[in-house]
Amino acid sequence: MKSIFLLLTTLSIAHAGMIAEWNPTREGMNGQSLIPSGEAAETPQFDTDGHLIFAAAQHLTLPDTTAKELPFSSFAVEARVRIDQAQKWGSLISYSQDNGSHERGWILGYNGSNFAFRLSTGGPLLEVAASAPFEPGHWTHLFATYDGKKMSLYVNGVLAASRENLGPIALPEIPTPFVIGAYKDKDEFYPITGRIDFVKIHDSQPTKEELAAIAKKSAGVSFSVRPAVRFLAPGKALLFWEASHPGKAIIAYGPSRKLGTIVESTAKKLRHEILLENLQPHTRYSYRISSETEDGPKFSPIYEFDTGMNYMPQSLATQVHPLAENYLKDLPTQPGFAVVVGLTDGSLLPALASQSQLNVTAFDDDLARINSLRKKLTAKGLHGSRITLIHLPDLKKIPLTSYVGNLVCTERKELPCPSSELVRLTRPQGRTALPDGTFTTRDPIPGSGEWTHQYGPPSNTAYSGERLGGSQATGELELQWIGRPGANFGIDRQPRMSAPLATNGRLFHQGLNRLMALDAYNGQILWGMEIPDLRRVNIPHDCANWCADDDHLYVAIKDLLWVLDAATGKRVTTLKLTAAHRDSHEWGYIAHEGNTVIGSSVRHGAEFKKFFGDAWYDKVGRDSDTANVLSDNISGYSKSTWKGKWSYGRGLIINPTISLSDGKLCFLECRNPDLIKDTSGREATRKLWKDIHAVCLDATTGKIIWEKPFPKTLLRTDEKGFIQVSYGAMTSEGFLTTLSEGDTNEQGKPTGKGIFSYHYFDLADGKLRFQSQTAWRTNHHGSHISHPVVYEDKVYTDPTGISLPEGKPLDHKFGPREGCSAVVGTSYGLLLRGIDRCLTFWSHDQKTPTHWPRLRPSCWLSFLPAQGLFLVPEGGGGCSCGGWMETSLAFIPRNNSGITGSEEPKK
Amino acid sequence: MIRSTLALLVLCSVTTAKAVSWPTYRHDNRRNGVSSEPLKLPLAQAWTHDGGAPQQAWTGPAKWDAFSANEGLQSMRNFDPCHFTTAAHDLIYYGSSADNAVHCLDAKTGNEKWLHFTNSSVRFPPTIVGEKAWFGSDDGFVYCADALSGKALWKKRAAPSDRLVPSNGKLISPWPVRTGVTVENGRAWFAASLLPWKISYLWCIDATTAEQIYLTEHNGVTLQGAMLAGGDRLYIPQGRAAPVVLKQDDGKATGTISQAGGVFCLLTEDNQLIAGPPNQRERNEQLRIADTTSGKRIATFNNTNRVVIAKGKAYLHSIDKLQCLDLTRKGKLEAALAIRQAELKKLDPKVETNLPKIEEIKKAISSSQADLKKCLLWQIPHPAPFELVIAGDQLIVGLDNQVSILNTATGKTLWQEKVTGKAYGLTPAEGRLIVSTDLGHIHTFTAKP
Repeated sequence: MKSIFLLLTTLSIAHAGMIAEWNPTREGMNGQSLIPSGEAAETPQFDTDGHLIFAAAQHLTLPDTTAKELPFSSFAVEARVRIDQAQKWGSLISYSQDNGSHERGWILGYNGSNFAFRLSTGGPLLEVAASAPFEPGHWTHLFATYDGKKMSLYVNGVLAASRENLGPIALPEIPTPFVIGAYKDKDEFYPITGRIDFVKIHDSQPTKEELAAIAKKSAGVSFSVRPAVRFLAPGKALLFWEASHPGKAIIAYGPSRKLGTIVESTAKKLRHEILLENLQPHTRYSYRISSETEDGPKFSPIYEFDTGMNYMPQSLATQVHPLAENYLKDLPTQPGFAVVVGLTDGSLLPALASQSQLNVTAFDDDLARINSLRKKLTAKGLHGSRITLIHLPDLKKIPLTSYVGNLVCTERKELPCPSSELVRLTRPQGRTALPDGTFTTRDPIPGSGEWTHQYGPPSNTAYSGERLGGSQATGELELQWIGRPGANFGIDRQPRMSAPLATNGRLFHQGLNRLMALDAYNGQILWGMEIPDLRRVNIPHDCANWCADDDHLYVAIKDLLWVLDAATGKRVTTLKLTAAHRDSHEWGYIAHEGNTVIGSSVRHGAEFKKFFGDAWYDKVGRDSDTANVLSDNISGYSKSTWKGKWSYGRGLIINPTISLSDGKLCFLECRNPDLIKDTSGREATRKLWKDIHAVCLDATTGKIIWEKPFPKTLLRTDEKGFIQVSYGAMTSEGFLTTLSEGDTNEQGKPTGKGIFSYHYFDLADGKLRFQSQTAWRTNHHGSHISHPVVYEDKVYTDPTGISLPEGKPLDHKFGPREGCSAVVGTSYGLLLRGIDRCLTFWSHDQKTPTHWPRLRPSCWLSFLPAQGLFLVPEGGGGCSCGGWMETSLAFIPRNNSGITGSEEPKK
Repeated sequence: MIRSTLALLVLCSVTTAKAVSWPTYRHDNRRNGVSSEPLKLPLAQAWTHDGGAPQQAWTGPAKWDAFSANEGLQSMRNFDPCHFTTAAHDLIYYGSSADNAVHCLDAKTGNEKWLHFTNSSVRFPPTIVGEKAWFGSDDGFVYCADALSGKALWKKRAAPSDRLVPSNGKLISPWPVRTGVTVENGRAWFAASLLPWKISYLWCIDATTAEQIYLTEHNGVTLQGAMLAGGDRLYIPQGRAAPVVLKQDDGKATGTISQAGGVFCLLTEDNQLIAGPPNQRERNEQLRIADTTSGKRIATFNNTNRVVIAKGKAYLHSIDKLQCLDLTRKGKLEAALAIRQAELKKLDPKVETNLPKIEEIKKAISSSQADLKKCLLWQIPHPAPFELVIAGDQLIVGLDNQVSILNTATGKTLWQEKVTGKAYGLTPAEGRLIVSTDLGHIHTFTAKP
């Protein structure tokens, strides 16, 4: 114990049991040497706070004698760290070998974005890991303890995870580096990116009082409503939040983590709004909120927003024109397109642009006039951005795809083309303004559907009634628009995130802690918001975090439901969970129908947020990544008052089974009392499938219409097999549950075989109409978690399905389905990721597929047949595995596009 | 092996009595970025021009591929980050993705000489051949204008229809012309392309009469980025897929260069294609050298995304250092080394009579490997550049808010000046240095009187 003793004599002692301490800071180092012993791998560089910068290959090697002389049977490791980048095999301090089946030593670090503590007592390294991901860039206090019987991990003084592990630590038998700031063993080296304030080793466990003190000290700013940034104009954004307590609030922000600019909020109450101006374009900004409290200043994590996502139009000084005010009167103020066919002097164009947020595109047949106007506008920096002029020798037929203009008009007294041509160019709900002063509003595209929830309607059928003009093959659809958002918007391949939504002419899309609204018909970005707490992934085992109606977008953020104005993104109100759950739960399920909004409560930390590393949520068998998220209650709220109307809570509601249709709310519920008491809110154990009930509530009152014990599962038993995923969906007649049941061998390992089992309950009385099954096609890439496409007369799951209402297996297959995305339906076919793992259209009539080469969707659902279009917002551009297009786009049925004749080059 | 590209430069440049022009994107059809004429130093800023912020065709890449734990993905379609310029006749030209026009500026004053509008974004500068300016547009047309007056000579629809669709607030053709126009040996080539599920079109027309020579159709491709011409082939980048190779004489595709990718491409005199990034899977930025005949990879430059080659020497940046490599010597040594390693492989060390020969070859290999290290002629600590070009014995480096000129022989900085924005475009021509930045600024520097 000589070296340990030496340490004790040279280090300040903060805790009676502390036996070693290292401070990788300017003060804690002497040149490249760490005090009292240790060596940096590279020339140290320190940040402005004096912390050693861990980046590239930087790490600190400690004398391994120290590691060997630590107490093996009971010890604790304490650290204060800031991780800037999640990664696999992140290690803050380690003395370990992990070579195939030979695992020894211990590691305090992180795996992906979750802090973890691993330790071997002779067998494999056993791990305890925090279920909630850490906030990159935020300082966190960690305490990892082992007492010879149990290993535990405390994050900011709060127990995050613990498990049994018996006996003294088994140290590596071969030479092993003892390292701070990297995982390093015989053949592996993974340095971290971030900062470490200190690492301490104790030979005793922390007391409850010490942990409570750490928790109090670590607590950050307390929010009533979490912060977000909404873009207003080029270079301008609004940062807003609500504090939980009154007091001075300050933000610091800048184009790097050094922040820089400091602004004090002028708000006297809880609601803060700070206008950020003169922001640089295409820049990732960091910001931090601080507030004064009785315990001193508290700080939020460092959050980010990216001005590269700011596509708001440039504002212009108002210009007037006799026609402009009239044309724009009562037209929604939002970005989009104004199409002007035929000019006189062009003065209408700047008037339209300045009095609206529309991009004004004018077609005219006089080249001299066009060029004269172009030059004037270019000199003002307006041509090509807010106003574009296009020369067209013949104005009778405009070569523009149909349904584009929010406003379509002319500057002339006489129409230069048939009025039907102006109507053709007008988007649904857009305005055609004729020279005689009459306005018409364009009707929806016939046969249009709305995709308001994760799987279309809240009944989860993955079919919205969209006819797509009768199209059945890719060649029958033409490009409607192409462009932003691009690959920089999302989380690489959108790891089973919430699906986009499309309703009332708008398309909503989620990316990396951000969301955006677009005009579904012309791709114009309507508004964008950066919300650090937005993220939810692994939707097949949970439910989406949003839904939309004609006027509002409903988004679950932590414990609140944000109700946003669909046209502008402004927050209208927030809905709270039931009082009993406000401190302990987060908002889970979200849906609406008629005047009712439905929400549910899930236990804190139950939602999936992890996406870095092997977070694909595709594993077969019972696994923590394929557990179901469960709700403790479900409630109804009024859209008229935004107040709660009813609440139901009896058992654990399995989120992906919750379905809503025609005033009825159906789900599967576990009433196993042991599980209700013990669950973390995310469950993969067999206990979940004991005492399951199918329940149907009246969605307007919350009263039970019927409840039925769920029959025995078809493949899984109490002894073997597993439920991979469970879905609910509703037709006009019944509540359909689709369980993916996997088989296991005698050792409990998945055999790779499984079935989709279907149970169809009569909506009127809950009577079971049938049980049925089809076999898995395979057990990977989402095939075994295939979400059903439900028509009134049949159900499709990979690779076939069943008939309704009989439940008989279909006599045909669909596909091929390749890659990991979900399948959705139109009236005439299925859309899926298929041939060459590209988007594919499978025809109901022909039973054959056609595909769009190199068009890659997300890993779950990023394509929607809705609004008369096939909408494909970007979902796979961050997948580094292929030549994908990295773009958003929309298709329109060729017969609705305005294309006549063939398209062949003029030779 | 890579040899000097000097001969090409003389062929492609429009040489006036005073100075050498820069007639097309990156100077010549091999996109070498090398001018034979050095700039007279020191330079002083003559004027700046604000062309408006470029409106790029594509956004940047995803922040990471988190599933693969692959960070720092490289943009593979960043072909229009600034208003690149060409220069001839004491005029400076650029195509604008912002205002849809080709601009011609008086090189001495920066005053606008003429503007020629198209119906959508122009993403590459016009190619100047004699007194003609050639350019393509996102509207699906190719234009030819008088280079001195801007007067329209003709325009030709490259797309199969006039149809327009919205894209990022503008209207574009589903077949935009995003390859620029390549003019060589009396012929002009350009492609109309975007959607891999639609047919793409490669046009070849007579550069004098504008008559069609041929039109070929190509399936499953997206032809975007400056086209290259060399030998009897054309090379067209595709961004996230490998560049397509086509025969100049009939426009038929012969395949792709699977080792290449991205839109930074240059073709050496030996018809070796240097391109990158090859894909987004690599952990660092890469440029690869591929043999265009076999398609095989010859070498890899790691941790870099720009290189310029002149007189057998390569100038590139890698991990905080700018360096100069003797490529000619390196190529010879590597070829010899490969032969010796192959010889060594054939010799069975268990056969005693082989041992002297094995020893001899090992010594030669060791000697070659030592010599290889000497191919690094110089390296200096230096931030990563956005662009590298050469003017005579000067290496011109585009940086963040700065442009520098270094001596090619020593790496010593000869001159540097501030600019506004990231300097992606560098045009040393006719005694001037024209710098284009991502903010849309065009700075022009001339020799101090």
